Amino acid sequence: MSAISVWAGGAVPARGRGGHSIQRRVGTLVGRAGLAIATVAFVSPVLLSVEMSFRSNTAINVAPLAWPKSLSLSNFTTAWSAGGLGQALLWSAVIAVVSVMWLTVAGQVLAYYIVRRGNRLASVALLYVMAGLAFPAPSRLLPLYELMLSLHLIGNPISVMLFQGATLTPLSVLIYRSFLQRMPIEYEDAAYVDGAGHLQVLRHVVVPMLWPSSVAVASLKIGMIWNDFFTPLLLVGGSTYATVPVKIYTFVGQYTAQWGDIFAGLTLAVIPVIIVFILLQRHLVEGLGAGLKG
Amino acid sequence: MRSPTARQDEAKPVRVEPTSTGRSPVVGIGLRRVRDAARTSVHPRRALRNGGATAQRPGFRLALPGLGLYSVFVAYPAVATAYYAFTNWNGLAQHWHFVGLKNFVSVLSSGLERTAFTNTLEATVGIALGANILGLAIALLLQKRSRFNYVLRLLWFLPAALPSIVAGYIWTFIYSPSGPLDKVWVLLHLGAAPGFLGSPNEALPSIIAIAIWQVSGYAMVLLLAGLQAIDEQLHEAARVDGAGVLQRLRFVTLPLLRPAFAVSFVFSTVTGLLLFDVVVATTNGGPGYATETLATQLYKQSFEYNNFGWGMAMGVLMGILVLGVSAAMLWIFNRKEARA
Repeated sequence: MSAISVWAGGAVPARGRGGHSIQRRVGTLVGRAGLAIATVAFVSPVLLSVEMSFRSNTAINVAPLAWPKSLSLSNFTTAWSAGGLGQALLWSAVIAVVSVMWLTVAGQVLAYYIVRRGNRLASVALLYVMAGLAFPAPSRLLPLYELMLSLHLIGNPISVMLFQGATLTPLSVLIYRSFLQRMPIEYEDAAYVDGAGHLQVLRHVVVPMLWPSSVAVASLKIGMIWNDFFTPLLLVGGSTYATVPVKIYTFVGQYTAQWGDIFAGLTLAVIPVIIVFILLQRHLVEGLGAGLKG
Repeated sequence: MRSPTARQDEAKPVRVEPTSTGRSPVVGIGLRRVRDAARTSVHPRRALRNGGATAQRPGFRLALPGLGLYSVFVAYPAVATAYYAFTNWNGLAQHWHFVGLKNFVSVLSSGLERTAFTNTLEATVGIALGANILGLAIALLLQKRSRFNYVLRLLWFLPAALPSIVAGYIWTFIYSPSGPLDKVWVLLHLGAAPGFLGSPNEALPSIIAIAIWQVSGYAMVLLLAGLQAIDEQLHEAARVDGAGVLQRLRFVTLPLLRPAFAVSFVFSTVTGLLLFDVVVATTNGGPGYATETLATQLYKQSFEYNNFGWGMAMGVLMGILVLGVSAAMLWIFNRKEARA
């Protein structure tokens, strides 16, 4: 499953079959118009919430669907500073970057050990890590909370990094494993023959060759870590280090029914997601496919 | 760094005559050549298979960082949940003792938890069916390669990229009384608008619709990948044999999409079983208990009512459900695949 083909690919439409080319073209045009309308309707809640964020609370309550008469940025200043979303964006980014770095480095090395060692201990390690997929976050929540409490990490962003780095290990091992199995071993052998150690082989052979899968792992994980709410709510909820979804939750609680401010907050939370998504969309699918296929 | 014993092993295949100094006759760079000769005398992969040249295989210590963090923050909490679920530990006390299945029995005999359980199952079935049917329809409509379809695919995935809690709040506004959907209802002369999130009967379907809105993007992407893996010649052959559009869909496309459906169904059912964010953003379990799910109950029992025993038991039950449903999905689709 090639990543690029999922978004941009597909069968090339057959052209010029049959003689009624004008009829065919009109048919295509009508079909496309229908699809475009359906798509706009499907994403309209997102468009609407971005539009709402520029309007005052009263204007929204009076006429939610009316064309805006005046646009203002005041909702955004409220959400950014008073609502604390600026800070939440910063901490979400730090948490996502650190966790993803751990997942690419440690996940890669662990998958390398499991695939290339290939003995019974490696199979046991694989089975042990894969067992983690059977325990969703709710099945681990309470002892994790107690553990973080005893480590004095509740309300500390490090707790979220540790949790995300550990929780997503099985998925990243799975993705790296499926790529490593397809990677020829000869390059590594050649490096060993030249006298390289394991760490040198990892640095100069495995990491560069697995680079596309690292991009896949990173783009899939950034989204999962950024959007996660269940466990971060418990770990950093109410602290100054809340992640974006957690901060959105408290923010909406504070600004009940002040939809202009709320939508400014939602828009601030959504914009980075959309930017990262557009930048990484090709790789995201590859990660999704490889992760779920294995 | 390679260990000295490993280096000895590597040198074995070539006999190196020791000199009076005890060193190899070839010194300096020559030593490396001897070792290389020893290595290449047996094909590296064969050497691996024969159990020789152990130095070429990564050691267990490389696995330690990843396994270590995983053990402390995933494996330990999972095992501890399974252990405490059989005790009367309340999260604070220093002492506890085994109570057997008591927590499980009281959770399963509680009317509230049974409601949460049936709500969760209803949501799971609704999300899995809704997201996959919608995802398949969009994937089929957008499967041809064109710039137009490329842009539309990205847009159909957009809701999937949002944090679920944000999706929940956006839809809270859309569903709100005299909100946008209400206005659309009036505009289209559909009669009195439903109560949506405020109505006990319509709240859960309204939440399921939000989840479908998000999950269908994933289903579309996975099914598109599956569609693109199908050989175009099969369609051509069916067309030559006189199969119509629906027949080709029924006998060519759908059977070959089974592996993609397996993945997509596992993803959507697990999303349904763990449903939490959207509920918290929209109804927080209400009206009454109409939209309580296992995940919201786990949170409330544990941290609002300090009922840790129930929380642990529900955690174990959710783990069993996730594992069981995923295995069932894979089994169903693989079995059919084998028969096809």
